[in-house]
Amino acid sequence: MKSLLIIATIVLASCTSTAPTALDTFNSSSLNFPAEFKATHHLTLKIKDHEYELTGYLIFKSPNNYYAAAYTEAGKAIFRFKMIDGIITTLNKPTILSIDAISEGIGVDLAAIFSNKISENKEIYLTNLIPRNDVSHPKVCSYYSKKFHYSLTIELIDFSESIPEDFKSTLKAM
Amino acid sequence: MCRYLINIFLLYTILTTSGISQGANQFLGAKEKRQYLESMQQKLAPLKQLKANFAQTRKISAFKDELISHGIFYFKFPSQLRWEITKPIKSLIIFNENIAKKYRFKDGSWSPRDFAGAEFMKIVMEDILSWTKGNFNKTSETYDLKVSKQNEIILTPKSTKTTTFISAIELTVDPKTKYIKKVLIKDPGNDHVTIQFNSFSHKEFSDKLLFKEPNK
Repeated sequence: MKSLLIIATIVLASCTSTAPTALDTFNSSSLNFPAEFKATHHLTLKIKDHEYELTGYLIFKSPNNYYAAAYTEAGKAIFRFKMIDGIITTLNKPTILSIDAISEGIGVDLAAIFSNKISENKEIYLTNLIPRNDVSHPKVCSYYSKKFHYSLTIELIDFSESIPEDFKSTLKAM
Repeated sequence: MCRYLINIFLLYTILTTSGISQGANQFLGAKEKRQYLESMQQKLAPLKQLKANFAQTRKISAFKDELISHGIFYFKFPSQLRWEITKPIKSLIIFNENIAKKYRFKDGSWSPRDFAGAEFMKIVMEDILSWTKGNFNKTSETYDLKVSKQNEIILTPKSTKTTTFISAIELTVDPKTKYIKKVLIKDPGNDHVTIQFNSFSHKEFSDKLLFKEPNK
């Protein structure tokens, strides 16, 4: 019985050590992303004791339309997915992630974050926010997915609130 | 007779200006292609090391946007590569003795990172090593290889598995030095990546630790 308790303690300890701590003080207004924007981003994905870094491109139009892509140093697309009116289509994904981890995970997480509605997504919590000096939205945003057990850090490098007028039709044609 | 000559002249003009006749002749024949690749390999045979700056531009055609990164490429014969990205995010890939490792510069020091697409990266590193020496023997097994009269080597994947993420690779060769000065990687969609090399140097590297794990 005692050994069972020890094992249970170890298992619980290991579980809690993999999940990062949620930000103590946070509300959705801390994000404050504009209704539409495009950016170059740098992603750090931590999953199953591995840490992957990718650079990519993001274009977003509120509430639920965006295109996100991330590439390796050699230029190969690792992630490519789009959301049109809330429906996710995965164009490329890494083998380490299931299709559900995109369509029910990262895909909807990003929509919640960039729509400033993260509090409505109960599957994730913010772990870090680094503000930018010049604008109201954060430069770096990190969150943890309770459902798929990954941490994702998104650093927005170049940011522009100007997106093409035909964004949605271009997205549909992709 | 005069009308006949005029017709011939008109046909010639149409063919040459429309590019139809150029299309038929823009690639070297089998013999010329072999000679071209042999001369390239011969010219690059004495090459023991090479350094170049590069600008990598990814074109997001659907939104008419570009992602640009800059870096430095180091090659040391026979099997060492250093692919250092300096902007916008400092990162480093070292390929040494057939093993590729990745590092990220953060908070003043380098730390190891996992590869996304590790298998693909190893293939890329091996290809870069071979192409830098003008060796396309192994490449010919996996790609259909054509050489244009404009010093371009066009590689089209034979495997349908590869064509799901690369539709073609175009290498532009400097006619004098035979260094590859531009690499164009075309995606199955309309996106593409261009890597433009410049400031080539084949002097021996003073830093003996270039291909070792970077200081932490």
